Amino acid sequence: MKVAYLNDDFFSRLETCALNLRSDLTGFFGGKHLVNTYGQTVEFADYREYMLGDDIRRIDWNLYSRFEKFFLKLFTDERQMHTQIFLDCSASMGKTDPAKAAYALAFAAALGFLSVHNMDKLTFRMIRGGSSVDPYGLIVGKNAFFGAVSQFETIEFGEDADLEQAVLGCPVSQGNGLSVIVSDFFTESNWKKAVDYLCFKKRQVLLVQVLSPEERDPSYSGRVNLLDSESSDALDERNLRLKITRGMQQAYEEALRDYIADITAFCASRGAGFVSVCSDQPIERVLFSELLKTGILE
Amino acid sequence: MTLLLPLGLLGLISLAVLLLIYLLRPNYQQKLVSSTFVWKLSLKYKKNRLPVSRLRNIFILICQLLLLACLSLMLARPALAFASDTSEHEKVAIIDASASMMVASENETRFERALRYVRESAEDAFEHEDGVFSVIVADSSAHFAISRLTAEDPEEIERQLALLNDCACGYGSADIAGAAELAQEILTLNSQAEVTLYTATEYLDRGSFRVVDVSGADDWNAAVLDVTPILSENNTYSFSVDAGSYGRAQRMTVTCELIGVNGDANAAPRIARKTENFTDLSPEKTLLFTAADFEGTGEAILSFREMYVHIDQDDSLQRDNVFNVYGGTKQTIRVQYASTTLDANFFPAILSTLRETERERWNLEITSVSPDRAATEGFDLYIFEHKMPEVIPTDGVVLLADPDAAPANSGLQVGDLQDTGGSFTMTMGQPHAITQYVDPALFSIVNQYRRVYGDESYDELLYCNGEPVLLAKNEANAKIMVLALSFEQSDISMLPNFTILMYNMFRYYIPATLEAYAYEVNDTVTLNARGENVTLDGPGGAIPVGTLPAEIVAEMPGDYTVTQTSMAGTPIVEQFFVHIPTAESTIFKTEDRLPYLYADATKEEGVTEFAVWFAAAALALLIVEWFLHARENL
Repeated sequence: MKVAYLNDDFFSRLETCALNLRSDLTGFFGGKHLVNTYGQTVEFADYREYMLGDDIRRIDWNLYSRFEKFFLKLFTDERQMHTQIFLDCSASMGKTDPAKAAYALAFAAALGFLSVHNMDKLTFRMIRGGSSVDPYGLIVGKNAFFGAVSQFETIEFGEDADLEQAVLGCPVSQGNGLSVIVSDFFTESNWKKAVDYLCFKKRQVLLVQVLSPEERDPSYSGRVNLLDSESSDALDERNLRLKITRGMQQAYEEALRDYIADITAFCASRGAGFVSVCSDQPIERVLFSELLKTGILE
Repeated sequence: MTLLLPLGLLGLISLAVLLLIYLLRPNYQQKLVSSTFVWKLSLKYKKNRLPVSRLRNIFILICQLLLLACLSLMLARPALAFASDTSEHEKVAIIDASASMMVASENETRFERALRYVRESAEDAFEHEDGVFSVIVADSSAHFAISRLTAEDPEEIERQLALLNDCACGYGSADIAGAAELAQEILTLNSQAEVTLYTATEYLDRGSFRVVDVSGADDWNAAVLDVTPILSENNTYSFSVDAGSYGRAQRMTVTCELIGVNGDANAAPRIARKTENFTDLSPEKTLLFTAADFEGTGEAILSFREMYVHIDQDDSLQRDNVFNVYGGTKQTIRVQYASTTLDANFFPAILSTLRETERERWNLEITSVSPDRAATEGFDLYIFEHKMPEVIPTDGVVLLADPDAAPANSGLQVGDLQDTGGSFTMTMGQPHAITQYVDPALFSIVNQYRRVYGDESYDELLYCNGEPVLLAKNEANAKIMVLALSFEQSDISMLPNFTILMYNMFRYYIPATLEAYAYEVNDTVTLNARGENVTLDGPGGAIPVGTLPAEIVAEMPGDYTVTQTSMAGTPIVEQFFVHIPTAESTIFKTEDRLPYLYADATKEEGVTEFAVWFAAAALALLIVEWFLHARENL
């Protein structure tokens, strides 16, 4: 799949931004994210009394001259995070509207770029069925990132996706970075369990809901047999026979609005970030406005 | 409840069509969507909002079915028949518009008085809301002047009553029977209608009529009823004059002014007067005026151009005080008989009989000449026997008997004599006025006949052995009859049929212009002419004549003049007089009975149509259906 968004101009504009992850994450040594633990950076954090075993070279002698007690000067630590991006590769994401899939890929790529740009580790996990696959392995550095992005065109969207099973079945390390789920969340799967699981793993969680314009505002009406793109055949129970009237359309809009509100409320309760975007919105505006609002981008 | 147009129920078929459409409505459109997840969620919202959506669809279907049923019933025009009592304030006024209604006294005629009464009666009828009024004018043919005028529209009443001012009295008799038939039509609709006849005639049995006498207290009438010229055996005229005085015993003088006596057009009128007492017991008298009664020498009256009879009285009806008499001058028909056998009596005998028969109408001047002295102009009737003229005459009727040759311009071809040897068949040709009452089977002896053939302008009237022996043509300048039988070699001239044939020929080619010279108003005048360019002028102006013989109805009293041009080109002028009917001069008439009017009790039948109500129901259903559809779209 050709993703039109992914070009040099797009990534060069992202270089001015950085992911703003929580400071209570542990991460790995060598990154750029400031964390709550004390380290060897030049940024002052706090003082504490000298304890037996401390390196005497770190005693602040100016304070000793004033208080005649030994105090150590503490500095904040910078860590490398591991960003996991779960991409819903079900049919609903791209079978009927390739622009929606391209938009989701671009969004995932943008977040991935921000990660590798901050010297974080990155993993793309493609969710298909009840599992997620990691076709590109652990990505560190931009060369590896662009190598992976260049293969996005080969990604196919089909079948269905069980977010719960895929995330729960995925090895997730404890508290060392950001987990992003890019999906439309139009699934019977209990994705909330997946979020709870990630939160349990003390990871910062961001949910990105990508919708197509038709899903936002369905334009068809009349007597319609709605065939779900993830249905196996015409008799699949996911298919729906409806007489779509203006009232029905209004009910749809209300249901969608309530569903998004439900996701928002759930994410708020779990301290996760959530953003719902439409594929007809310019992706730069979404990144530089919606994500900035969530605070995950700075 | 009845259906005025039951075929409209065929519209109920549309119900079945609608149900069929519902059953066969199009399948669901296939639509591939990314996910039906939200649609399933939306169903809960939809159901929560409109729990009766399923019922609504049923209601819409019911509305549509009821709508179609309403429209079908509208087409069938349902109606409810009803019968209600007819109006008891309906009046029918019949106005006698005969000539006797022109009698004037107290500054108004009987007819005007009748109109005044009718207006008063109309105003009385229209004081009631259900008042209905009709006026029938009974002149020569009864007709409605106002037909069932109701009290609903005062302006219409004013307009219709104003039309009565245009009604005029006729000069003839009243068609009371026709008026009664028209009144009967109204009685059929409303048996309670009151029929009133406004007349001066007294009816002994009025039946169901109400009769209003419109005669005045001072009405009286002096009238010249009729004048009859009497032609005596010695061809002298005397006159019988019928006169009368009605409503008053009066001594009156009847004056006759005779003009153009014995052909002297410049002589002063000869006047005769007779005075008689007309009493109530003998209101009518017949006066005989002979030549001795006229002023002057007492010379016998052999002919006259016109006689003017009048009674000079200031009576209530002046129209019948004068009477003009015409027809006193017989027209002369000049007949030339040219034959090689003048000593034979066949034709002279026939001509003498004809002259005597037509004595009162024509003056036949018969001239017998030998063929070599025969003229071909100056006569009205030419008879050539055996020897034919070189040129056919064009200023009169020509009879060619047993022609030996064909005259020039006759259109004939004459052949040889044909011997029958005693064996022949006489047959009738095409039906014709000349052969009317003639039986060819009676011609029993025909030894010889001559072959004669006419062009297409000739009608072939009799055949002998299949060949024409009697031919006739009647054109403006060629009136010719050919008899191709030899009188010496047949018995035709000795048989009564020959007299009939000649009489028919004379009447056909030289018809009388008029049957009589005095008619009553509305009599049919049969008009014919022996010449061309016939015109008729009456008191009201020129009257179109049409194809002759024509029948003209004389509607106005007075002098009528008929003008025509003879074949010789001379003008022929004749006059006749039309007077009001003698019965109308009798202004106080008594009749036995009026026509019988029957009146079965009637109900005013009508129907109340419910199409409007069904239309309202259909509209309401439309609104309900629109509302249900609108709810569906919410």
